[in-house]
Amino acid sequence: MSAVSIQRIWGAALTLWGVAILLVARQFPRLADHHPGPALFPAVVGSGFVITGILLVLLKPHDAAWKPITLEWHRGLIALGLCLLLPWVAFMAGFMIPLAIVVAVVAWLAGLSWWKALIAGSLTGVVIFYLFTNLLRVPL
Amino acid sequence: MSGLFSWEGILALLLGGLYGALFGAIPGLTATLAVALFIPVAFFLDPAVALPAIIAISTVAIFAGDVSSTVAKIPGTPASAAYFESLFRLSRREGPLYSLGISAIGSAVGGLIGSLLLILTASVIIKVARQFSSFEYFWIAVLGLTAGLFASGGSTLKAMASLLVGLFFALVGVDPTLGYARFSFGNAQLLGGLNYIVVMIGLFGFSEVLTQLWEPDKEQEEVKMARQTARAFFGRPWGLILREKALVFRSSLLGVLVGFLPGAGADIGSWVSCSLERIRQIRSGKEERDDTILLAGTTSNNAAVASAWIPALSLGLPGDTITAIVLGIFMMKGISPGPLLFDQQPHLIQSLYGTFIVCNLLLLPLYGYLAALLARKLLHVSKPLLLSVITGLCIVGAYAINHEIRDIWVMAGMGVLAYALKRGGFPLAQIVLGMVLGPLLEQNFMVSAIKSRWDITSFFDRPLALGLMVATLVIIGVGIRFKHRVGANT
Repeated sequence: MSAVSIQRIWGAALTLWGVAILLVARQFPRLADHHPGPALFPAVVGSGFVITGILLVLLKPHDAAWKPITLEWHRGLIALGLCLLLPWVAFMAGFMIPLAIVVAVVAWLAGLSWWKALIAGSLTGVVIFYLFTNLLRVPL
Repeated sequence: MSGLFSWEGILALLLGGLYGALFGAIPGLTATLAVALFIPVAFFLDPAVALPAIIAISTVAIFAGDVSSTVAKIPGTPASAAYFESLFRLSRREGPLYSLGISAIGSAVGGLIGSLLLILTASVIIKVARQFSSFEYFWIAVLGLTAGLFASGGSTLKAMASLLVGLFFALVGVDPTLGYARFSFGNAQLLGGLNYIVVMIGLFGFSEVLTQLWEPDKEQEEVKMARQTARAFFGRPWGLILREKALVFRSSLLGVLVGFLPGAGADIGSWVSCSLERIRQIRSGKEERDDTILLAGTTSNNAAVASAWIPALSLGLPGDTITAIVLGIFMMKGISPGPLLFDQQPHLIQSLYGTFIVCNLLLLPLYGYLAALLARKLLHVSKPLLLSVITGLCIVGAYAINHEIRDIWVMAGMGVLAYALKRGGFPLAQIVLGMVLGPLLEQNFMVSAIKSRWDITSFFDRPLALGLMVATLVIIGVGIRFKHRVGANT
C-alpha cells in the first residue's frame, strides 16, 4: 500500500467520521432566539472533518519517509485483547494477579523467554500494585 | 517566612518534592492528583507548612513529567505533551543527563523568572487580568490552536485533522452552556467526558507498546552510550540558556502571562511557547532544534506554575486545578483569598514567595539530577522488560485517574487509534492540544455570544480581544508563508 493510498483511506475515513458527527448533531435540540444550542460546535467540528477529509483524498501527500512494513498482528492483538479482558477479570480476582499476567504476556510477546517473562511479570505487577496502593495511597 | 525556615517547613519541602517527583515521573499520575491526595494531610498541618509542601509537590511534579517522556516517550503531563518528542529525541542523541538537565535547569530558571515577576508585578498583572472577559479567553484559545496547527513539522492538513480529533473528543459529555449530553450514546459514564490524561496514556504510551509488538523489526533510536558526568546536567544546559537568553525570557514571560489567566495555566503556556519557537525555526529556514523547543516549553510551564497563584491569592479565582485545590484548603483553614489577604496575612504571602524561590533554586536541580540518574539507568533496561512495565503503568495509570474500569478500554482504544494515525503520518500532540483548548474555546464562545445576543462584531470591538485576533492572523500569515517555503503545503 502506498503513501497516496494510506492518505486517501484516512481522508475517506475522516469524511465519514465528519458526516456521522453532523448526522448526530442534527438530533440535538435547537433553541429559540437564534440560539443554535448544543449542536453548534459539533457541526463546526463535523464540517471541519469533512473538508479536511476531502482535501486529504484530493491532494498529493508529502510523506517521503513512508515505507511499507510487515506487521506481526497477532502479538499486538493478544496484548490488546488482554487489556480489554483485564477489567472483567479484575472484578473477580482483584487487580494484582490479572495485572501481573498481562505484564508477563507482554514481556513474553516482546521477546523474553517464558520463565523470565513470568518472573518479570510477577515482580512488575506486585511492585506497581504496592507502589500505587501503599506508597502513593492510590487505591486499585 | 518562619514556617519555611523551621525544621517542619524544610522537611515539608523535601518530602513534598520527593512525593511530587514520584507522581510526576509515573505516567498517568499528575501534579493535580498528587496535590489532591495530599489534602487529608494538609488539613492537619499549619498553612505555613502545608502551602510550601504543595508548592514543592507541584513544582517538582511538573518537571518530573519529563522523566517518563525521556524513558518511555509518554508525556507525564499535558504541559510536557508540547515538547515530549523533542525531549525524547534529544535524550537518544545527547543522553538523558543533558536533556533532563535542560528540562530541570530550564524549569528552575523559568520558575525563578516567574516567581520574581510574581513578586514584582502581582498588582499590575491583577489589573490586566481583571480586563479579561470571555471574549479575550475565546481569542486566547483560538491563538493557542492556531499556533499548534502551524507548529507541527509536517503537513498542516494532517495537523488540522489531529486537532479536529482532539476537538471532537472534547465534545464528548455534557455541553458546557446548556448541560445537554453529547456523543455519550446513553452511557452515563461518558457524561463526564473523556479524561485527557487517559487519552494521553493511550495515545503515547500504549500505542508505543503496540508499535513495538506489531513492528518488532522497527529500528530503535540508539541511546548515547558515552559516559556522562554531572557537567552534562549542570554545565551544558547553562551554556544553552545563556546563548538563548531572549528565548528563555520570552517563554517565561509568556508562561507568566498565560498562567495568571484563570483556567489557562501551565499547559497552554507551554504549548504556545513551543509553537512560537517552532514557527521561528521554520521562518529562519534552519533545521528543527530539539534543545531550544524543549527549553521554550520547560521554562514556560514552570513560570506559569508560579503565576497561576496570582488570581488565586488576589481574586480567589483558581489559575489551574492545583490552585483550585489550594483555595479549598484556604477555606478549610478559614483564610479568605482576595486583595485583603496581602494586608492581613503578609507572613503567609512572604513564605509563599520564599518557597517558590527555594523550590526553583534548590529542589529542581537536586531532584532533577536524581531523576536524570534514574532515567539513565532505565534507558538501558531491555526492551521487552521496558515494554511490559510501560503496559502495566498504562493500565494502572489509566484506571487510577477516576477509578473507572471503562478508562482502561478508552486507553486501549486510543492506543489503536494512535497507531493508525502514526502510520498515516498524522501528528499526535495536536490531539491533546484540541482536547485541552476545546472546552475553553466552546465555553467562552457561547458565553460571549449569549452575552452579546449573537452580535458577532462584539468579538472584535474590545482592544485586548482585537490585539489577540491580530496576533492569531499574524501566526496564520507567517505559518502559511513559511510552510509553503519549506514545501509542506498540504
